[in-house]
Amino acid sequence: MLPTLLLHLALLGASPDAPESLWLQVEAVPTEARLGDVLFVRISVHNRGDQPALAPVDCMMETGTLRLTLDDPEERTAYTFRADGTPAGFEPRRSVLSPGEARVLNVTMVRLPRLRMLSYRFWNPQLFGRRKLSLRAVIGELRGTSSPIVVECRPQSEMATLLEYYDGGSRFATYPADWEIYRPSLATFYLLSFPPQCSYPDKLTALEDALSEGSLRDLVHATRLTQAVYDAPSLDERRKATDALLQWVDAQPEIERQWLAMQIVSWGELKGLGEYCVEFIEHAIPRLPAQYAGRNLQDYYREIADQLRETYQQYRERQRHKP
Amino acid sequence: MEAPDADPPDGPFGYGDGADDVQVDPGQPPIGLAETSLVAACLRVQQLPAAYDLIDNADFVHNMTAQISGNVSTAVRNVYSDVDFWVIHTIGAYEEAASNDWDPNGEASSWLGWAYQCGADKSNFIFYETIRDRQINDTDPTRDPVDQETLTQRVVLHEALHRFLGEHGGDPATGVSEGIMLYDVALYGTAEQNELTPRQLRVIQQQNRPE
Repeated sequence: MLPTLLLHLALLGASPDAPESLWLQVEAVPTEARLGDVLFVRISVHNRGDQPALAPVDCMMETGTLRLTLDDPEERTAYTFRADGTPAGFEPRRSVLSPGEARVLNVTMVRLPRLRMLSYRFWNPQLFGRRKLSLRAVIGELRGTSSPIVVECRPQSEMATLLEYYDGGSRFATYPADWEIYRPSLATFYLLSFPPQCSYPDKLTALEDALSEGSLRDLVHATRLTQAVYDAPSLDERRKATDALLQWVDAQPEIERQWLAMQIVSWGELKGLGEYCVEFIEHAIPRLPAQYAGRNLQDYYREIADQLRETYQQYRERQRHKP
Repeated sequence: MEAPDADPPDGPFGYGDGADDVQVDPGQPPIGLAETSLVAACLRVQQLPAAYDLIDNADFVHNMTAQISGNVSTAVRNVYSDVDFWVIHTIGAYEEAASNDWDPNGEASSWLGWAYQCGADKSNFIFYETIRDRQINDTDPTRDPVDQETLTQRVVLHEALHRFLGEHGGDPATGVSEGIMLYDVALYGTAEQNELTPRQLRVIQQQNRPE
């Protein structure tokens, strides 16, 4: 009886509305960026009070449960980021957060901006200059703001090169006939609007060479390293390529590292690497955030890897007994 | 899309938590509800004639994600919208990532459809297995979801409307937060509750084309 009673007491102590004790922490890296770069964002809720409080478990821009806005206090203007799509079917959850406890709700990425948004006045390269901005997150009644983020215009020649590579949101970009579904591309790292031709190895190399150091270039580099894993001709070389990818990921700042690891594992889970996907996922797991949207993400992917291993074992058994 | 045999790399079906995946061949997304609903916006909805729809069967992907949706959809898209000839490319698919497929039952996410990259005229995906699973294994003891056929029709229309009304959490003045655009209404609501609202009809009629 005692455990039930304690649980009920905890729930009674929690307010259904966002209590003042809840603090939404918004962390964004890098803190200095150029137009076209991306921000890696981690959103956490903290209970700084002395009572339990009901707090969100997760949030997503795609489902409208998270709103991210870049504020420019000097120009007194703002830009609200758009999601990459709109699924039907998500029920935001809340659960009790104990005093002193924190919970990571999301680790995500936003572009500064998507290149087809450069025509918006907020992002106009001619007017942009160098601006001190802050990222504001809204989840229901909770609000939080990041530390300042300085964004400056990319050198004109570099911007021109970047736009040459980008399709500008063209609706008519087609995929080459020989393109494989699971082949890593810029889209693997959520640069969804670049035409597929940009993700050919020679184009990626040229794009990386053309870009200044920064988060956009990091995503191009991550794509190249992931392609090296995919294209490796032998198991041994695939392992070496995996090590190179993960060592590079390890050298990145924590939030970027976690986001990159999430994309890498998510791609690995698609089984484009065949049976090697199990080993690949297992290597990447330690880079994932342990606590994420109400669950241990590392344990979650360990279970996935176990299931995949079993799947392939059963598959091999079936193959062995085929007449 | 047609589900292959239950062997890797696309199987097995039963993969993921819950193990109540079954092998479902995603069908051709039904447009009946869109046809009747959009008449009120002075739109005639019809399936693209075969002469325009040259490549009709996408490669099967068990777990569709935003990252690979472009690889799948662009390869089978023949026609894009023009001002007086609108196309909303809609693909029958299996399910989204393992964390969004209602396995185990009661999982926070059960993504029945996706309008990838609203505003960029990309493709919509309808997740047949999750619709089946979500409808059969509903966990709400207080009400029953609509039947699978009705739910599929509503998801097709819901995703199509995103191309006009924008994303969840966007400007409510577009009507994106009412009627059939609400998950609960699409899943459990009556036919009347799923009729397009005057605001939604007005916004649709103001568009140059769905994007």
